[in-house]
Amino acid sequence: MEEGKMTELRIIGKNVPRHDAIEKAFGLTCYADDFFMPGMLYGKVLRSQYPSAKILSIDTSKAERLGGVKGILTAKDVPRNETVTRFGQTHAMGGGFEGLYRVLADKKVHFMGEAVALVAAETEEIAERALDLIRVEYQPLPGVFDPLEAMKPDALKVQEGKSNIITHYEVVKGDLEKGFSEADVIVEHRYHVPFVDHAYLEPESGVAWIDENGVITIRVSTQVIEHFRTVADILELPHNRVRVIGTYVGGGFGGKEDITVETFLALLTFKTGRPVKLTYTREESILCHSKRHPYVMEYKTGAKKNGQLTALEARIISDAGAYVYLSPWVLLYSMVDASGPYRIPHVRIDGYTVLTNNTFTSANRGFGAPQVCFAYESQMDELARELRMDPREIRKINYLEKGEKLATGQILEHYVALKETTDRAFQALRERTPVKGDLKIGRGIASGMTSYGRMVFLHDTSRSYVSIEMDGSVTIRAGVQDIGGGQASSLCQIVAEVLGVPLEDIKVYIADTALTPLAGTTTATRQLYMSGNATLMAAQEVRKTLLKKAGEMMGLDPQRLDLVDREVIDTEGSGKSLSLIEVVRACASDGLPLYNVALYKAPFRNLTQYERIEGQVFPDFTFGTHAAEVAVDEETGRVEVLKLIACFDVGRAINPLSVEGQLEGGAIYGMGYGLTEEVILEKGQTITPSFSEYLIPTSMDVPDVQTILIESGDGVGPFGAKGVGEPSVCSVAPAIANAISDAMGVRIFELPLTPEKIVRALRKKREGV
Amino acid sequence: MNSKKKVGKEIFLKINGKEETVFCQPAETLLFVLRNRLYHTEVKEGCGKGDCGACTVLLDGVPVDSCLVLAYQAQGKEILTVKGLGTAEKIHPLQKKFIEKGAIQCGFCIPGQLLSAKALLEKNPKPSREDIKRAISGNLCRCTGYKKIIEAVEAASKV
Amino acid sequence: MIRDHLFPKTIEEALVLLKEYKGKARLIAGGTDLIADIRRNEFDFEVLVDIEKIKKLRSIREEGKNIFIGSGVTFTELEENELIKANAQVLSQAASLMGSPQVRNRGTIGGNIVSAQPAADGALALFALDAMLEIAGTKGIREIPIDKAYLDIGKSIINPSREILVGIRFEKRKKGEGSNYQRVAIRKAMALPILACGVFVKSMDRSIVSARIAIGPVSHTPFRAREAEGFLKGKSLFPETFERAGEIASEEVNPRDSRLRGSSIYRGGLSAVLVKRGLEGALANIG
Repeated sequence: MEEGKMTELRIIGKNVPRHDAIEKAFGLTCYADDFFMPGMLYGKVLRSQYPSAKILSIDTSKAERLGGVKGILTAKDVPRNETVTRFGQTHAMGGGFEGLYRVLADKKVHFMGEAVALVAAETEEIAERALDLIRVEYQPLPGVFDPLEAMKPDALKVQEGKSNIITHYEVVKGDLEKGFSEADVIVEHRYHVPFVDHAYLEPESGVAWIDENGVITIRVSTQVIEHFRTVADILELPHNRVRVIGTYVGGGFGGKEDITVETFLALLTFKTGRPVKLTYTREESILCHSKRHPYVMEYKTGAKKNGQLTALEARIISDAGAYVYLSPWVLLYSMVDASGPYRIPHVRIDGYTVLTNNTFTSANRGFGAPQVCFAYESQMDELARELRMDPREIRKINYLEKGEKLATGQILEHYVALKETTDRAFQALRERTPVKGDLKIGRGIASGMTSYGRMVFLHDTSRSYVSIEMDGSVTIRAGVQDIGGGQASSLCQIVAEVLGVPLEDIKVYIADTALTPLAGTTTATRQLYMSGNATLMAAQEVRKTLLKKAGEMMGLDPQRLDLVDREVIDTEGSGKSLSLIEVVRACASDGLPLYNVALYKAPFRNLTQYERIEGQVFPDFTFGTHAAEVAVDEETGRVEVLKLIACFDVGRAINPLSVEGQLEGGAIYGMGYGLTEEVILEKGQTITPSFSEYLIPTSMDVPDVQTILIESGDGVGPFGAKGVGEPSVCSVAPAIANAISDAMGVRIFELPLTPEKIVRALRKKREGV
Repeated sequence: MNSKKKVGKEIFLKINGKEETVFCQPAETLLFVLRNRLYHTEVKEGCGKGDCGACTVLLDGVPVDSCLVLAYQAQGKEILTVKGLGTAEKIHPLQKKFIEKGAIQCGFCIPGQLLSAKALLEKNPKPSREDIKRAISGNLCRCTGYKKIIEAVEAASKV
Repeated sequence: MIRDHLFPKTIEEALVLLKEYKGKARLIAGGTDLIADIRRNEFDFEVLVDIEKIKKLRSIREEGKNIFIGSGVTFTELEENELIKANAQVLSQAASLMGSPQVRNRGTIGGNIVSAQPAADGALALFALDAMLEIAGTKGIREIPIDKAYLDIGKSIINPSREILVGIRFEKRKKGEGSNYQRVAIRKAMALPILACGVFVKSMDRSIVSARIAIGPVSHTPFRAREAEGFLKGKSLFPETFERAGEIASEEVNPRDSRLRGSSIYRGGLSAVLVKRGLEGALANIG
C-alpha cells in the first residue's frame, strides 16, 4: 500500500462471501438465456451436414414463406462475411497469428456443423421448422481428418490455396547431438491426447437488440466483450455503435473466448429490426464450438546416470481443425512449456499446427500446457524407471530455480516453489491404501509450469474505474467478464482493502463495452493479475485524494492516516478521526476527483521473427505439483482415484476459498481429461454428440481433493498474487497416468486412460510384447 | 378429433406454494413452461435430455429433471424451485452454507444442486458423505469439482 | 404434433382410449425415454395416455409364490423396496445403478421394458429372474416370459398403442437362491454400461442346481448365456467353476466392435469377468 499506513491486511486473504455467490444461491442471477425482451424473436443456425463439401445452391424460399419467420440470412447477406480473428488484443502481431474468421459458409463447408444459414422467427419451434425447409444442395468432397496426413505436401487443402500447415515454430538451445551423446539413458515415446469439450453447464447464449439510434446491443455469455469490434467490422458499422454486455457466465474455460453467437445475433437483429435470442442446444454446442487441440507428441529425452537431463528432442503436431482461431497461440504456449520446468542444456522442439476438416480447435483451460505436461511428466517417470530413481528425486535434481532460464531463454524472475510443492504434495498422500482384492494400488506425481497473463507480444493492458459516492458507497466499473472464478468479486475485495469500506458498500458493474473501461479478456488466467492491478491502482489514487484532504482537515501528515471501517483514523494514537463521508463531501466541495480510471500495463515486447521462440514470452508462471493415488481393477480396467493432492504456490490467496475452489475444480477438470473425456470424431463426424456420450466426472467419481496453498508473495498480481485458473489443470492427468503406470507396471501413452486401454496394455505386458 | 381446435389448454401448476395458471401444449416440458411461459428462469437448461440435472426441481418433494417431465404431468403436484427454497429475507441453511463454504462458482448448476440436497436432507437428516455424493450424482458441475458442495451439504445437515 | 394428454384412472379406461384413437395414441409412464423422442421430433403418435393415475400399476406386492411389480413402479421405488431387496437383489442393485436419482425418480420398470434396449439394467435383472410379463389388451390378459418380449433393439412385442404392460411377476426367493448384478461403465453415475450382467443362482449341498445369466449389451436384445448356464448345472462351488462359466459365456456372446462402448474383444473379456463376479456375488447373497 503506497499511501498512508496499513498494519495488516483486513480483507485480502479472508474467506469473504462473494456477492455473485449470494445471488446465485437465490437463483437471482440473470444468465444470458434468462433474459427476455418484448417482441423478441428466436434465432437458429442451419449447420452443414458434411465435413467437407461444395455448396451448390441454397434455396430459402420455402422457409421464408413459413408463417412466423422474420428473417433468413446466408453468406451473401453478411456485409463483410470474412475477416480476421482477433482475441481482444489491440496490438496486431502479424506473422500468421490471426487467421480467417468466416461468419457463414460460402460456396464450401469445411467442417461438420459449420454455420450455413441463420433464421429468426416468432418461436423456437417455427425457427426449427424453417431450418428444415431450407434446401441446401451439397456436393460432398473428400476431406482430411488426420493432421499427420494433412501435413504432407500432396494432401487435400482444407482452406483454398493455402498450406494446411498454419504455423511451424522451433525452440533451439545448445547442441542436440552433444546432449544425447552425454546421456546414459534415452527414453523415446509418442504421446497422443484427444479432442475434448469444455462442457460448461451453460450452453452458448445471448440476446441482441437494435435501438432507436441504430446501436446494436448484444447481451451475451462471453469471455471477451472486445469482440464488439469484430462484430462491428462484419456489419460495417463503426465500433462505437456495437455494444456488448457480458453476463455472468455459466462456465467458460476458454470455450466462450472465441465469438460464438455474437455475430449471428447482431446480423439477425440488424436484419429484422427486432430483439433476437439465440441459445445453442447441448448437441449444437458439442458439435460446433471449439475443442481442445489433439496433439501427437514425439519426445526423446536423455539423462545421465545421476538423473541430470542432458537433451530433449520433441516434435509436436496439433490438429487445428478447419479454421485457424487460436491454434498458433496455443502452439506457442506449448513450445514454451514443452520442456517443462526443467534444466535441459540441449533442446530442439519443432511444433506444427495443421488444418483438417475436423471441428476447429482453440482455447481450452491450460491452452497448450496440459498436452505437453502429459508428455514431459510421463517422460520424467520413464527416466526415473530406467534409472531406478525415485520420481521425486529425479525431478528435484532438474527443477529450474529463480533466476535460471527456460529452454526458450526466458528468465524465471520469480520464486520457483517446485521442490516444496513436490515434497508436500507427495507427503500428503500419507500411508498407502491397503490392497483390496483384485485391485492394484499405485501412486504418482506430476509437476506443471503454467503461465498466467497473456503473451507479452500482445501488449496487454487493463483498465478499471473506482469511485466513491457522496454517501460513501463505492462503485467499480470494469470490463471484466466473470466466468465463475470470482473475477468480479476479487476486485471488490481489493477495493474494500484499500478504501477501508465493508464489502457490502461496494457495487461492481462489469463487462459493458459502452459503460465500463475495457479490462481485456477473461482468458490466460489474467484477470486477477491485470484487472486486479488496475483496480488496485485506481483505488490507491482515490485513497490518496481522500487521505490528502483528510490530512488537511485533521492537521496531520497523510502518511500516518489509514482508512478503516468507513473512517479515517490516525495510526499514531492521537485519537483523531473523521468519518469517510465528511472527507468525501469536503473533496466534492473542493472539486477534487473522487474517482480514478487506471490503466495497468503488462510488460511489452515486440516480435521480430515468428519461427524461433526466444526470450520472454510470458509475464510469469505458476508452479505446482499434483500427487495421485489410484486403485486399478486389472480385470475390468476401471480406475478409481483414491487420493488427489494439489500443492501450488499461489503467490497470495486473495480469497482462499476461491483459490481452493479453482484448484479443486481444476483437479477434476484434469481428472476428466485423464480418464473419461474424449470427443470422438470419425471422418469429421462427432459420435459423442451429447452428455450421454461425452462423460465428465460426476460427484460419485471424485476423490476428496486436498489442496495445499503456498504463498510466496512473489507473483506479479496484486499483493503478490499469482493466477491459478489454468495452472490447476495441467499436471493432473499425468499425475494420474503416472499412478496408473505405477500400479500396473506398464505405461499407456495416450489419453483418456479408458478401462479398455488399461486391459489391453496389461494383456500386452503379460504376452511380453 | 377436431383438428381445427387449438392444441393445448390452461393448466394449473403449483409452484413454490403458489398456484399459477398457464396455457401450454401437450408436448411442452415442465422446464420449457417454467422458463418461457412463467419466467421461472431460476430453473436452468443445460442439456434438455436428463443428462446434467441443471433443470432439477422438486416434484412433490422428489428431485426430477424438469426437462423429462411434461407440463401436463406436473398438474396437481407441488413444484419447488430454488426460489421457493429460500430468499435473502428467509435464507435456507443449505443456501447459507453453500455461500459460506465457497461452493458456488459459475452458479449454473447450483439451483439443481440445492434442490437435490434439500430432498436428501428431508429424507436423511444425517447423511454420510457417500449419501451426499449419491444424492447429487445427477447434478453435473464443471467448476467446483463437487468438494465444497459436499462440504456445504454436510455443514447444513449439522445446523 | 401431440394433441392431447389424457389421464385414465383404470386399465380398462386406458384400453378404451387406446382403441378409440386407433393406434394414434400411445401410453406414457414416467416419460424419460419418450420425452427424449419427442424432443428430437421422432414420434408418430398424436395423443398420450398416461398411466400415472392407475393405482394398480404402481404397487409392489406379494402374490402367493410370486412377487408382482406394477409397470408404473419407478426405479427409486424398486431400489428402496424391502420386498425386492429381500427377494431379488439383482433387481434392487440394477435399479440403484441406472441413470441418476432424478431419472430413477421418474423412470418406470414398465417403460424400461417397452423401450426394449439391450443394455437396460432393469431388463437384464428381470431376465435373470425369469420374469413373466402380464399384458392387458382389448382381447384380455396374456402372460409372456420376458425373453419373448424383446424382438430387436428398440422393438418390443408389446405395442404401447394397443396394449398395456400391467406388471411383472417372478418367484419369491427360496432357500438356496441368490442373485447379483454387475456393471462396468466409464463413470459411476449417469452412464450407460459398457457391459452389465444379472445373475441368479440356485444351489444345494454345495453344488449348483441352476443358474440364469443375462448379459448386455452384446446383442440386439438382452442375452441369456445358456451354454454357461448349462455348464453350471450340477457343478460344485469352486472358484474355478465360476471362472470357467465366465469363459464359456464370453465365447457365447458376440458383441460388435463399438467405438463408443468398446471393442468386441474387450467386451467379450469383460463378460467373463462380470459373469464370474456375478456368480460369486449371487452365491454370497444366498439366504
